[in-house]
Parts: sequence; C-alpha cells; structure tokens
Amino acid sequence: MIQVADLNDTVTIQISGRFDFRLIKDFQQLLSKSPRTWVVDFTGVDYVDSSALGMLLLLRERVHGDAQRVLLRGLHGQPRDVLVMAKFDRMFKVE
Amino acid sequence: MAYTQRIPSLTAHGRRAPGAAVLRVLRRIELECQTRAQAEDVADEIAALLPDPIKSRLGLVELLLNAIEHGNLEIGRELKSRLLREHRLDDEILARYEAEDYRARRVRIVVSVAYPLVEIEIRDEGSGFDWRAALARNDDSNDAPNGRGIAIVSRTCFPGLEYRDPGNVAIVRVAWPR
Repeated sequence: MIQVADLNDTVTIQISGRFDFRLIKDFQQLLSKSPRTWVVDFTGVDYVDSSALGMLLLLRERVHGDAQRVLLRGLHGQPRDVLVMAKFDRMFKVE
Repeated sequence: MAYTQRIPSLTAHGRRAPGAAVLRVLRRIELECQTRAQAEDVADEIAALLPDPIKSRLGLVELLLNAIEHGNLEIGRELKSRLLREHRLDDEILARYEAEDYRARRVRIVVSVAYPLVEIEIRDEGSGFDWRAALARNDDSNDAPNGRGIAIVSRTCFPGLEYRDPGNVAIVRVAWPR
C-alpha cells in the first residue's frame, strides 16, 4: 500500500508491506508530481523485488540522476539487503 | 498482507517442521501458471518447502515473472524498459495474456525432491535468451528501470542458478542443512 504526503516541495512516499511489481501502476501515477525532493519511507516495507528497484530508478530519472533529491528512509531487513546488493546505497541518499 | 501469512505451514507450525517433515516423504510436485498472480501462489507454495522461505520466495517470483513476461509473452528487455517509462507495462501484459499468440502458453514448474536436495525446474514456452551473458552481466552501470532480476536471484537467493539451452528452462538446486 502507498500513502503520499506532499508538503514544502517534498513528496514523501510511505509504503507498507511488499514493495513489488503490484505497485508499479500506483507508483507511476506519483511520477507526475515534480517536487524538489522525494522521500521514500521504507519503515513499513518488509519485502522488495526487482520491480521496486526499477521504480526507484524511474524516480531518479525524474530528478535527472541527482542523488541528493531522492532520500531513502527507514531501510531494514530484506529490502536493505537487496538495495545494498544492487549498490543503490551509492545511487541514492540513504538516511 | 505480509507474505509469511500466505504460507500456512510456516505460520501454523513454525519454521523447522514444514519443509523437513514433508520433504522426507515428497518426491515430485508439478505446478503451472499463466499470470503473475498465479506465479506468486506458486512461489509461496514452493518457498514453504525450502530452508529460507523469504529469500526463496523472492527468487522464485523473479524467475517465474521472467518466464511469463520475457519467455511466454515475449516482452524483451528493451521493450520492457520502454513500457515502464511510458507507464504501459501492466496494460501490455494484460493484453498479451489474451492475445492469440500467447494465451495458450503456460509456465511449468517441477519440484523434485531427494531429501535433503530440492531441485526446481521452471520452463516457459518462449524461445530462450542469452542466459550466459545475463548471468555474467554486471548491473552496476545499468540505468534502465529493469534487468536486475537475475542478478538478485543469483547473488542473494539461489547462488547455483542455471539455465538449460536455449534458455527457456531455469534450474535451481537447494540443499537443506543436515
């Protein structure tokens, strides 16, 4: 499930449960927004798949690859393992 | 719903019992799927039999979705990138489930057990792909929104991932610790 907060030029995307291919459509709808900063909150995420990595990269394309403008928050467990394996901790700002 | 809740044997009996007990008497299971939702059901069933159901579930879903999308539905890597960027992937997949060329195609899964070894074979009806290149690929410079599934599977889920030529059969072998 995705919840979105749009405040002070920052869009915070809060995902709970699985962040996987089933969220592609909902996630893509968010990409029409154009804030200065994006925050993806992983606190409630217990599972990611390769589609989640793809969605994060689409977000990164939206800010022209500027790692400082996409913040990944609350990474832990399986999602953290998968993102680190894919070296996403170097491509995004991780809090 | 957390994925462990979809694995009844896990939640009902705790970790150790399901795999070990059933596997001693199990020899072979055959499953079949067409859609991504069915692929998740297949992955949940098989993962419940394996030592690390969390990693296994992810690995199986990745391989099954590859078999469906790239194999049976013939959505190539570049086309998938484009569909993702144009927000059309889900619609294209739904359309191809019904399309004459693809609608009869299934992914067939065979689980063979010789405890403590479990072998899982995933076969699609596509024309295969250059799996050697895919296994060797370094994704660090991949900027596309797709194409990381095999790396995830072989690096974090199933280190012994193999394919049979022409690449439409993926094989995974898992051993239970004694």
